[in-house]
Amino acid sequence: MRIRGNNSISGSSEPLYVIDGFPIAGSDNPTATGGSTIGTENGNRLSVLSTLNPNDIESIEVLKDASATAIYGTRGANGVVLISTKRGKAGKTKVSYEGYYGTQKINKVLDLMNAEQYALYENELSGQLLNPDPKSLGVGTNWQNLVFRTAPIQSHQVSISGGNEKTQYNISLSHFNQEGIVITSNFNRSSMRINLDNMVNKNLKIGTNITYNYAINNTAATASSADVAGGGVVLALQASPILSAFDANGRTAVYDGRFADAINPLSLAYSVTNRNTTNRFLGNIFADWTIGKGLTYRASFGSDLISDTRDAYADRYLRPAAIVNGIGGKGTVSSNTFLHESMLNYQKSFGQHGLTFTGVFSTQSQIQASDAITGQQFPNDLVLNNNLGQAAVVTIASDKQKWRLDSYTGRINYNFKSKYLLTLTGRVDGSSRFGLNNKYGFFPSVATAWRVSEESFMKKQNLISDLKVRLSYGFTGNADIPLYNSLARLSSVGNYNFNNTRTIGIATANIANPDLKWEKSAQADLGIDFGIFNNRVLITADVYQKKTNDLLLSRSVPLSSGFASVFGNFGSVENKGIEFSVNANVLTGAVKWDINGNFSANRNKLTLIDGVRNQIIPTNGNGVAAFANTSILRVGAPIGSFYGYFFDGIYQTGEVLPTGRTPGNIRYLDYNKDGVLSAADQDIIGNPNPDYIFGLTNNLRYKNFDLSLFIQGVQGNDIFNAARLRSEGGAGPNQNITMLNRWTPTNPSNLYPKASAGQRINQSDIHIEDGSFVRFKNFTIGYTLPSIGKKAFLANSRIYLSANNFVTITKYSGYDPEVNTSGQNNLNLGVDNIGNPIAKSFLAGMQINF
Amino acid sequence: MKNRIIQFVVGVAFIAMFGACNLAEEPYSFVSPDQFYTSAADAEAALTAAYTPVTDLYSRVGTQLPDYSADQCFPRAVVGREQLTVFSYDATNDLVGQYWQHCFNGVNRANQVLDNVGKISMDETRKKQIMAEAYFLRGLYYFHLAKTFGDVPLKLTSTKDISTTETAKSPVAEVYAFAIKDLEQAVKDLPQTPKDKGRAAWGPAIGLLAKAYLYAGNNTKAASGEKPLFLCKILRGYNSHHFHKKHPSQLLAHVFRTIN
Repeated sequence: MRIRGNNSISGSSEPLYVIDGFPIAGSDNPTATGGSTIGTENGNRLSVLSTLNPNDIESIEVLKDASATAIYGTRGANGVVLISTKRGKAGKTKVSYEGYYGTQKINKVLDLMNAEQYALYENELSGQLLNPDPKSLGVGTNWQNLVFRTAPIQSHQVSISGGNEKTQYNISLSHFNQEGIVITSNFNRSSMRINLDNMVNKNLKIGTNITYNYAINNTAATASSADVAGGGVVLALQASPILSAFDANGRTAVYDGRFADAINPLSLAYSVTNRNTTNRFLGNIFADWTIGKGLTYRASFGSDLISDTRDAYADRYLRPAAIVNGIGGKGTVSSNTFLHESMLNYQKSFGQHGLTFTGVFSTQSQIQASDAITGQQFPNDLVLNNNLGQAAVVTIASDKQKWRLDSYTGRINYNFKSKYLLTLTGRVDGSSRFGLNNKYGFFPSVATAWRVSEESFMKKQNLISDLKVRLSYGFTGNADIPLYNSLARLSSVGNYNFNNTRTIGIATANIANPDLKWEKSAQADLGIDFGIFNNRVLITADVYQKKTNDLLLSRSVPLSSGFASVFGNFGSVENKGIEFSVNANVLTGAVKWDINGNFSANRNKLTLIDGVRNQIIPTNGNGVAAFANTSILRVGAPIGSFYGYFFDGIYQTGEVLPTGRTPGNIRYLDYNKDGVLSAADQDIIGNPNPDYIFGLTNNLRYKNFDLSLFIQGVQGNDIFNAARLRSEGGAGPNQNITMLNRWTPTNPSNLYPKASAGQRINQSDIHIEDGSFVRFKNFTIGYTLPSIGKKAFLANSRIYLSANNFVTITKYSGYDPEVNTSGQNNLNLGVDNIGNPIAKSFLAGMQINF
Repeated sequence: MKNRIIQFVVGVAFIAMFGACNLAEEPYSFVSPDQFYTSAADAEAALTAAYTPVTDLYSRVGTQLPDYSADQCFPRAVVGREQLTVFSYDATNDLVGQYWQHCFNGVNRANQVLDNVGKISMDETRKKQIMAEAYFLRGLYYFHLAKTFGDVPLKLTSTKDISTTETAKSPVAEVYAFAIKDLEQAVKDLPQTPKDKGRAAWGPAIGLLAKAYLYAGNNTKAASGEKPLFLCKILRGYNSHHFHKKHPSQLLAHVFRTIN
């Protein structure tokens, strides 16, 4: 998730989530490792929200401008998402059930060669008659059909809420189960919530929000690496359709002969245990004390306790595991976060002036401890990872880390006649992550607003019912710095044998940077809120500019220093854009029709790297094997710009060929016209950032029927379809159907290379595709039961049918244009190296109130 | 009741506030530099770290790079290996980069030993040997750098901060001279018999020194100087199971043969 563009390179660009006052950043969500590395390559950690039951959410508010986010200081630069959960209300006890059941399915499968086509291709590739009779092989195995499935999804929740004037409560129990569209993968979550409020007396209220989650995630192995045991989906695209999936005993086949190196894609699912089990307690207790007239104090104490366990095992039916006689292990991570917040609030109005003072102190700390055990050489596969003592080779790792963030915030709100509004905010943040020379940062902001509609000259007309002009400027920070990066860390850098004994060597593993500090964003925002026809049409428009300096960057340093990179505050980036939203009650009669539309466009530009270089190619990319760098950081270009060669057709017979090239190889453009093809012929070949995005929601209601349609669009972004480096690369893996038109001496294609192992395929603009799409995200039709009888049993109960992601209009040739194989990594946005594609789903659900 | 709750809440809030003062980062799972380089064991661990790039270099890339560039094989076209055979590689070639990186990792770690071990109070004889082993390693890495890349940056001390990461290249003659100086220093203090199998000793150091003279074009010194090239008599007298008599040049390979 991104709010107003990418502000960071190495830090997170994810917003801060604040759940009932408890701030949680993406990096606060640890994942246990250990066991086989199979399935861990993708790095797609579960989002903060995945442990939250969506039915518990009462409201979500997104804070974007500097004044609103300034109170979050070093945590606010990427925007803040405030989530409040449902609380009880005084009155009749309400018991309700909400649930749905549905199925999910992949949107499309890719068009690959069948067995006959691949056999011919393989003959050509090898220059031998490996498959003497291609025709007899027919269609062969369609691996995609075996790896994907139609999978059920269901959710159930019972909640009880109610209370009296003194005490209110809301308790809920829920269960969610999602089978993955990739075989053997699934996600289960059970959760419980208790929200309580109690008025001790008229001046003191105490309460609590407590939620407990238990989640089991059996992840489908996805991988960015192509050659080792990649993910099931990646392998399904590469596996030979000539091979059969199962052996005579119905087990996943293990191959021999010339296929001895081939990995059965199904064995990635059936032979691999790849499970994370998460227990999470998130809760806080608070007290609101009204000290005197206008003076209140609120204290809250919270904790977020996470324990995550990973179980991993790969048995002998998976070739890489068979080589080491089974590989498996266990890992745990426990993360304990504690928060205290004290808030003093004073409100006073005199005459036509209104004043509010707020002071907040908060301190948050986290201790994370993890361990991981990996075993190899098991006597058999019978006990999986449950008895690691059986493993002949065991490796162990453990780690412990801690951070702390203290902050002091002050805010003054002033208004005159409720017409002129002024907000001044200042926050001081101190973080343990910062270097010794920069422990505290100051983040001030100012916001003004003018409610034009309150002016007397506006009272004479009745077209414009609300008009407000807003202007704000302020500073926020991003302190999502990996821990201990300001210190030089001595650790084991490998080992060496003396007298045939392994000896551990210790050296400095990084360069110290005592100046390490937060990334600082200065944001200006001008906005207007506009209501007409008695607020039947509400329009909000904003323009903003956000300049982020001291960008955290793992900058490469000359390898001659003994290090590859240094981490520090080097760059600057600028985001600017417009946001526009309209909310209209089109029809308000018997047929009610609301339209809610939003549009936003953001432009991202790197403005400074380190004052020395104007471009660097990051080495920590997550691209396809041997194509590690998919993007470039260049001053003046957006972060994440794709970098590569320019495709210039295919070398034809009779042409003058450079050394190492033969007819049928791809020709790359000699971009700098120096007569030789070298790394210097690369340039920016695409931009993963969209020109604009929009969303459109229609809500219709007629009598007891309701209908809603949500359409989402992303336009003008590029996707680097990295998977095509393989599937149209002319080497060993199965190829796209387009490769039927490959170059041969008799078919002089100028687009598709010949079948030939080891030809040089570079990332080039031919792999960059338009990623624009318009997607029908959701369509729901519901019916609310009329009140039955005097007691109104089942009053307001509703049944509905809904379809998600059911139509996507796009030119993109991969699985799905909404793709990001490398998760939240800012440098590899829009890289499609085959993750687990997004599914479409059809659901039927009900909400019953007893 | 109400007052008790308030007293309790405010009390706990105050405790939390006063706890919030110390923002120093507390390392748990690694050592910080001021905790290290204090004992003989630290010196040995730091020296071991300077040896580890030898494994990185000699186990793969150190043989791959010259072999693929020669005539005896045509490697499979993975990670740009074939580029070495057809000489179409550039600086982005993985093996070229690795060769460079392993050598300079070694240089930096040897420099860490040379910078820090001197001030450790420990057995003086062993300390001298540790320094000599580090000189030997730095000389070895620079010898490889000079013969493979020619002009390279000369790193006299370990890298400590950002400002010291960039050093200009020195001409190849100076690089050889530097390697030779290190090896001459190593020869002075290295023992005749290595302390452990796998460590540098006087024999390999003198062999490498002679080789470095040759590569630097100083035939006279290699052949007739105070440390002639093949001091066969001395080498034969050198603990005989440490090298093959008929092929003294295999001595180095033997010393660096690691058992994995």
